[in-house]
Parts: sequence; C-alpha cells; structure tokens
Amino acid sequence: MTGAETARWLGQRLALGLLVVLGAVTAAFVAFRFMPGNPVRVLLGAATPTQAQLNQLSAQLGYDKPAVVQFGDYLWQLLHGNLGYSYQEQQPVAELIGSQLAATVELAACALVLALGGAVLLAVATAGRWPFARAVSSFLELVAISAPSFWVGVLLLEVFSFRLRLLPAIGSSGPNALVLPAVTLALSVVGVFAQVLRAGMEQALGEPFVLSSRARGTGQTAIRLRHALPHALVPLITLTGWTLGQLLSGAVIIETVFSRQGLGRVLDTAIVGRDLPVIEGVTVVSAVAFALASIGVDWLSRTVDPRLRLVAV
Amino acid sequence: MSASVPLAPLSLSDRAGAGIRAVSPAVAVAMLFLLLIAVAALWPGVFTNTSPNAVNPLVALRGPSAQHPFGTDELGRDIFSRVVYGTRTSLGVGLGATVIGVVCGSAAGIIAATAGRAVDGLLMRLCDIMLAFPGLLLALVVVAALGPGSLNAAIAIGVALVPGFARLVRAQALMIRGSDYVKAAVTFGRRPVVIYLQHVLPNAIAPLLVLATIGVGSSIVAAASLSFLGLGPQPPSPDWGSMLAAGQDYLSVSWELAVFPGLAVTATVVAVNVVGGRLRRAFEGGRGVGWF
Repeated sequence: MTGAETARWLGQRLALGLLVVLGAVTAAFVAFRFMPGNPVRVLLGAATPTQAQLNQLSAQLGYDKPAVVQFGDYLWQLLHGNLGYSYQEQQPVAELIGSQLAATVELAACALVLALGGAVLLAVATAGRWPFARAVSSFLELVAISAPSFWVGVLLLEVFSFRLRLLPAIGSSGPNALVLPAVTLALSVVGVFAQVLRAGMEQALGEPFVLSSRARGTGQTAIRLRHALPHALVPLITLTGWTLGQLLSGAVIIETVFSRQGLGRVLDTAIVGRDLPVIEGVTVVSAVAFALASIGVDWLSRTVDPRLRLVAV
Repeated sequence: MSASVPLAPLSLSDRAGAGIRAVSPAVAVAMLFLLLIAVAALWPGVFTNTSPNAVNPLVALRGPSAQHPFGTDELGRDIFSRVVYGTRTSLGVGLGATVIGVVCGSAAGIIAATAGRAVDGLLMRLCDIMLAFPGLLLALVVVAALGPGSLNAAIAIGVALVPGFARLVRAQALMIRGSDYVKAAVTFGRRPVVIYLQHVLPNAIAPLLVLATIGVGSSIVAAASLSFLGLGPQPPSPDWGSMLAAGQDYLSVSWELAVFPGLAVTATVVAVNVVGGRLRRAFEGGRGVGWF
C-alpha cells in the first residue's frame, strides 16, 4: 500500500468519523430540546418557583433564545473544548468527565485483561478436543453471554461480600474493591471471546500447516499456542468496537451495582436528574472514542490482512 | 419423508449435517421452557393463586416454604408470584422493542434500497451514527429524553435495534433484486411494488427472523437493565429488573430476592439464544460455534 493511498483512506475515514460525531451531537441536542418536562423546573427540584425566577434562570441558561441560536452557541463552545456546566454537580462537564474517566478506564482495562486471559485459556483447553469439557465450557459461555451483568454482580456480592465476607461490597478505594466489578464486567464479554477464539482455532487446526507441524512431533498445546492462536486472534480485532460498547454500557450498570465512581455512574445520575449538559457531554465523548476506535481497528485489520485493502472504505 | 416417521434421536456425529427438522435435546428443553414462559405471560393465574401485590409484613423476608416456594420480599409479598406475574412486563418490553426494531428497520432498509442514491446515503449515514453507540447507551439516552416507563423503555430499546435491521434488510433487498427470478418478474412486466411484496420480502424473511430471535434475547436483558436502573416499568407492577434492584438492599438478610428474578431473566435469555442459534444454523448451514 503506497503512502498516498493510506493518506487518502485515512482522510476519508476521518471525514466520516467527524460526520458521525457531528450527527451524534445534533441528535443529542435535538432529542433534549423536544423532551417532555421543562428542564429549568427539573433543575429547581421540589421548590415552587415564581414565574420571574423561572424566566431569570431560563435566560441565565440560554433557554430563552431560539433553538438555532442555542445549537450554534453549543457547537461554538464545543469547538473550544467547552462541554458546558453541570446543573447538579455545579462544575464544568469537562472537569466532571475528566475526574471520573480514570476510574472507568481502570475498571474496563482490568476486565479486558481478565476476559482475554480467560478466553485464551478456555479456547486452548477445549478447541477440538475433549468433547465433554468442550460442551461444559460452551454451556457456561452461553450462560455468561445471556446473564444480565447486574445479576452476576449481585450474586458475586451476595457470595463474596455478604456470606464469605472476603471482599468489600461498595466503594472504589484500593485493589480489593476492584476485584468483583472487574470480574463481573469480564464475565459479560468472556463468553463471546471464547466462542470466537474457539471457532477460529478449530478452523486453523484443520489447515495443512498444523498437520505438517504435528508430523514433526509438536505437542497438542504447543500447536494451539504457536499456530492456531495467532490465526484465531484476528477475528477478535474486528470485535473491538463491540467490546468497547459492551464495556462502556456494562460500566453504567456495574458502577451502580457496586456504588463505584466512574463515567457510567455520572451518566446514570445525569439521566435520572435530567442533567442535560452532562448527558450531552458523555454522548460527545463516547462518539469521539468510538469514531477513533473504529478507524484504529480498520487500520489494524488492513495491516494484519492485506486482502482487506482491496475493499473500498 | 412421510409424516408418520418419528424423528430419530440425534447422535453428535449427525448434528453437523442435520436438516431443519432435527431438534436436539437442548433445543427441545429450551422450546418447552419458552412455552411455559409464554403461558406465564398470558395466564399467570395458571401457576399461582397468590396475588403479586398482596402485602403481609408479618412474613417479610422469609425463606422458601410450602406456602411461598421462592420466599417473600421486604413487604411480605410472594416472590414466586411476583416472578410469574413479572413475566408479562419483562417479556412484553423485550418483544415490543424487537417488533419496533424489525418494523422500523425493515421499512428503512427497503426505502434505502429503492429510493435512490441520495436517500440511501442519508439513511446509511444515519445508521452509522446510531451504530457508533452501544445499544444500551443509546437506549439510556432515548429514555432520558422520553422519561421512564414500560412503553418508553420498549421504544428506547427498539430504536437502538433499528440500524442493525435496516442494514440487514437493505443488503438482502439489494442481493435479491439482482437475482434471476426478480429479473424474470421484471421481464414479465410486474410492477415494482408487486415484485417487492411477492419476491423480495418473503426471501428476506429468513435472515430477518434469525436476527429478530437473537434480538429478543438481548432486548429482554436490556429491558431488565433499564428497569434495574429504575428507568423501566414503575412500581408496584412486578418486573424482574426492578425486583432485583429492590433485592439488592436486602442482600445481607435474604438471598431469595436477588437470586430468583435474575434466574428468570437468565433462563429465558439462554432458552431464546439456544433456539436462535439453532435457527441460524438451519438457515446458514454448517456447524455453529458451540453445541448449543
């Protein structure tokens, strides 16, 4: 692939990504302008404000201007990296997201490592051998795929925190508090990882290079690790977008179950409290993250599998 | 094959080449379970005489007994009865969401395939934007805009399903449009509307059905997740997700409240996925990823 071709491809993808982000921002803005209930009233909560107070707050928040002007203002501020000001937390949205991002990334990263490790172990152990173990493993994978993560979290809490009293039930301090949430989040993706890996490995195990390696006396596990596993890892790259989505939406649930800090909890609180700037902020940040991730994944796939370069964007 | 020939039990070696008629024990059990779930959703009175909302503080948070097979909750309500009566809401939101996704998605897909390049491009970019968000996150944002409740939860989850179905139907429609039987129909002078209703739609149904079945499973989980977060059906209506959310506060004294509603969700979704996987293999042919 020549440099010019790559640059052209990257330019097209970036333009498309920008379009997606802009679309998400517009959709979020429109959705919240049309939603039932006056946000100014929600903001004031139980208090019964006078009309004058309502008008003053509307003016202060810019709700008295025409929608087009509001949207223009919002985009202009966005271009300057200003995501607005949270009604509930009384601090800039960018600061709020920035302060909570680390906790969620930490949780997601630990879960990803656990899930990848577990899936490789399961796939190497059960691909193409021991029918009984393979059946048990695929049944457990199916249950892990089907079980809602909040139930898994609640069960783990019940067993390890309330019965055995081994691990803390709530909070986000210290590595001990990270164990149960990370395991719960890992369980929500490990089933799919293991199934995809096993399918890829079983396909690779039927290839001639495996037979020739066997003929030279390589052991079963060595073949799986050295020859079949690298082949099976390629489909996992294409699952990156799905994984990222699963981890992020899992974080919303799991941070609530375990009363952890993080982006998911910020979003949940904002939705319940109708904190528009925060919801819009999280939407924008995740749209950017997904656009970048999808470009990265496609670029990686093209590098790993040159045949994909023949297909247009 | 004559109708009187009984289905032989399948050995594992048969399974790879088995046709659509073959039903493995796992699929049979899953279908039977789904039948029970359907009865519980339609006529919950068949399974229990106890009212799901009968409060009796004297027996609050008791373990399983002859009278209360799953125990009682914090208000002394029968958990078994609430799980049974919760089937209708939980299943209803999941099914309703899938119907919304299939209908709107198919319509968008057909329009994209037929209405020319500009409309196609617009609709597909719209799908790209929606697919850029994980389904649950999209549903959360839609619920945030609409407000909590059963119907709004179904709409929110359904909206998140639309782009997937739209892409599938569009791809199917484009593929079928290029087939010989459609060319033949065009040659015979059939009107496009007739061709779409008579040829394209019936042939696009099979993969749509497979995706819809799997969609039902994920929608049930999404519905339970929304109501766990307090954004789905509102109390006191019994519902699996909100029962679990309530049960979480009493984990240290009672495990029944946390275990049974979650078990109901998981068993239902496992059964749906088993049947969905079987359907997919029947249509796509070949051996699936696992045995189930």
